[in-house]
Amino acid sequence: MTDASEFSDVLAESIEAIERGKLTSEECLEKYPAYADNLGDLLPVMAMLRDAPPVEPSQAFQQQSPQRLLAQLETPVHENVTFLQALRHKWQSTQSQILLPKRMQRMAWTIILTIFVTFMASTGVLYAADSAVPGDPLYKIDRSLEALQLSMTHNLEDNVSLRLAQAEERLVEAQTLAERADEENLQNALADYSESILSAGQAVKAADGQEREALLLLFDDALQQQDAILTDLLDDEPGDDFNEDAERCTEDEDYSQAEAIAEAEGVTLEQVKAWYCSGYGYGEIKLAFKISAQTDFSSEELLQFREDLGWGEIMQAAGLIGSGKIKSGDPVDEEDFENYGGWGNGPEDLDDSDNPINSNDPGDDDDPYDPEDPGDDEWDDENGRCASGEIHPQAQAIADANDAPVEQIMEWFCSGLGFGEIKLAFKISDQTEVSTDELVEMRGELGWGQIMQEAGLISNKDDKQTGPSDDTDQSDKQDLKEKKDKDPKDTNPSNENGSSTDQDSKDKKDKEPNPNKPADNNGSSNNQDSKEKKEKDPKDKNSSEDKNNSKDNKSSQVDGPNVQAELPNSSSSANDAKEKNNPKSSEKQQPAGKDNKAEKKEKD
Amino acid sequence: MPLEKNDAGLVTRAGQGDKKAFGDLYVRYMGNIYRYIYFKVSNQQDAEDLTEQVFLKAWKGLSSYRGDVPFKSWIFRIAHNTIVDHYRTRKESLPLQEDHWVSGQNYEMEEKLLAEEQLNNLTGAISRLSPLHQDVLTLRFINGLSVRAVAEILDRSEGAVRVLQHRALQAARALLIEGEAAGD
Repeated sequence: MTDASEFSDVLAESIEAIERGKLTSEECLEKYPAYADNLGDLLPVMAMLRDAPPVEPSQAFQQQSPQRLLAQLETPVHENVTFLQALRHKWQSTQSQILLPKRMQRMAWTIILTIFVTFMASTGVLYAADSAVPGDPLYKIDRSLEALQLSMTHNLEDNVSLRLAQAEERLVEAQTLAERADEENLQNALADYSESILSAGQAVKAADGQEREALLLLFDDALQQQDAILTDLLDDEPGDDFNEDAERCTEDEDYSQAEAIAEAEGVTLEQVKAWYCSGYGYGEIKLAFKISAQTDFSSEELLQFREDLGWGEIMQAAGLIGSGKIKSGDPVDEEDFENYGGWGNGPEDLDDSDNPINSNDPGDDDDPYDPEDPGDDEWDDENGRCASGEIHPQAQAIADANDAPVEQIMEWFCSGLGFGEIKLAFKISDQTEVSTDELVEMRGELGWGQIMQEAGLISNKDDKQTGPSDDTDQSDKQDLKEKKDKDPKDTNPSNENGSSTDQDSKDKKDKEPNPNKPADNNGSSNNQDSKEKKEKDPKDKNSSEDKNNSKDNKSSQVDGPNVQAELPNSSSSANDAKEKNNPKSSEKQQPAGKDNKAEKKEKD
Repeated sequence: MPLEKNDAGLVTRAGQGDKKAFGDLYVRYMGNIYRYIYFKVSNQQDAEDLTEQVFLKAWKGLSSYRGDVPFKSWIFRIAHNTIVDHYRTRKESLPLQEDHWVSGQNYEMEEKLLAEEQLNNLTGAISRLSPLHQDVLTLRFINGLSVRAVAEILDRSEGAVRVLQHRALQAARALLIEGEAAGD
């Protein structure tokens, strides 16, 4: 634990002791002599706030507002009105947001009404459906309602918010199923979660400019909150307890799940078993394949990242979602997305298209009142991610974990990098002799997969064997050593002449089929297409311009009073970070495995 | 009739459409919510309007309240979101207003002036903090909520709130010192 976080705890303990009347401020200073100066600075501020003059509304407000409020209270829609009335109420409030011709609105309402009457649902049925989990009879209804909700959103922000909320609901369902030890449905819920979150990531891609930036922040924030739950869930899948090795991979173990994955993903059963036996849950393995299918990373690499990153962070770092910079070279581009029918008809919507219940859910919209709305957070306010000049807690955590200046982390974050990416940069730096500064600079031009290839950390995805204990290769290490002597910028393929390294890796992809890829995911050809698009697509230029702009914005934003006080000279910070993160032993690089994961768990 | 001690009964009844029960909840929390909002928007009129909005939203959203967090945390979360929405629609930060209303007729004129000055300094400093630091300080110290409650409201871990509390106090101190220096 760092001094800063230790002091945070000491301060919190002191404040609580003072609040409870157990200690006075002076006694706190005596109790913690090492922190007496800092406590002496901050406890008076706390006291000043606590003893602030009472602030109350005006007398007139106090007298009149209760009556005024009561007069404004309508009967809640779930009480004293029929469900039909509630449904119509909901529809009327929704249709004002939907730009449909009136004739179509009437038709749609009639369809909803007919379906509703046909179904003869009672209010309770639909409310119960909302809390249903996979395997429950009402679950399909719940999903159908969600699909309907999605189809009714008319702007991208609402759409992304709703998708994120639905992803969160999948996680909650997964938690419920984990508690019930319902392994089969848990796997389905986790798969649905990854579908939802990936579809939200795809929806973000439809935005550009400031809207995109705002949506990325929305996305990152939601993901940050969901990541811990997801990672915990995946770690705690039934039968996935690392501390009970005896229960894993016994002779009479049922490997039906491993068989199913092997069959679905076109890999050998031994491969999946090896991963499972080395400590990964089936949910994690499936997720790795899902992400791999849409990025340049192999499932093995993704599982290896799992040693240090949560799954949300991995998805960000892989550039799949969030501020990991979704590029036109990413798996599902905007055109593909439009082919899904836009944001109203994402993949999960199609699953429920044949469901008889297409009525609206009165109680489950993207409610602005919903305090759990993932969109409502400071970091997605209109001023952008760094307008406040505040140190993001994630940045602080990364700085603490890597002994780097937090201002440096914030500078990277503010210039557009996601926290997952920054963590990944530190991880790569740990395992190579390339500094985080250099890696971040490379990130301006390359994807992480390419960076790792350039740094010699990984070989081309298509060349890789997928064994979990695929000892990272003496030859790779040799490459790494050779490359470390060169300036990493020299290998930057972003110059106009292109890069032979990049070309080589593309050539390799063309020649060698990827054993990891499922037969139907168009994997390598898509990647090739994507790479070609990336080279041709003027949007890439825009994105780098955006990045420059965001840097410019950032420098104009740090004029805030509290920021100036906190941010030291950034170049010296950068140098500090460079020194701190420069050559470290590459011994840390280990194959992904149980021991590493167990160590990480212990660390957690 | 005296107010029920616990929120649970009132919340249940309010959820069933009992306006009187909701009115009791309003009386119970109106002051707290107002204080929180006031320190965020630095404007009495806006704070009053937003306070009413918060309770209207709470009434309409009672059906979605699942009791997973205490009602108090829930209503503060609505207040938090309402303020965020308020700034989103305003697209600009409100300037600090001079007309701070210090309650309590018991203040003698001089004391009242001093208190107003103190409040002005404090709100001035708080209004220049980042939104998150404002949240932590107003919820934690102005409203006297526990770290746990603040964590529930802001949807963060208790550890994160402790760190934020530390940084927010540091930032507030710097601004207060800066304000004092400017005053001199």
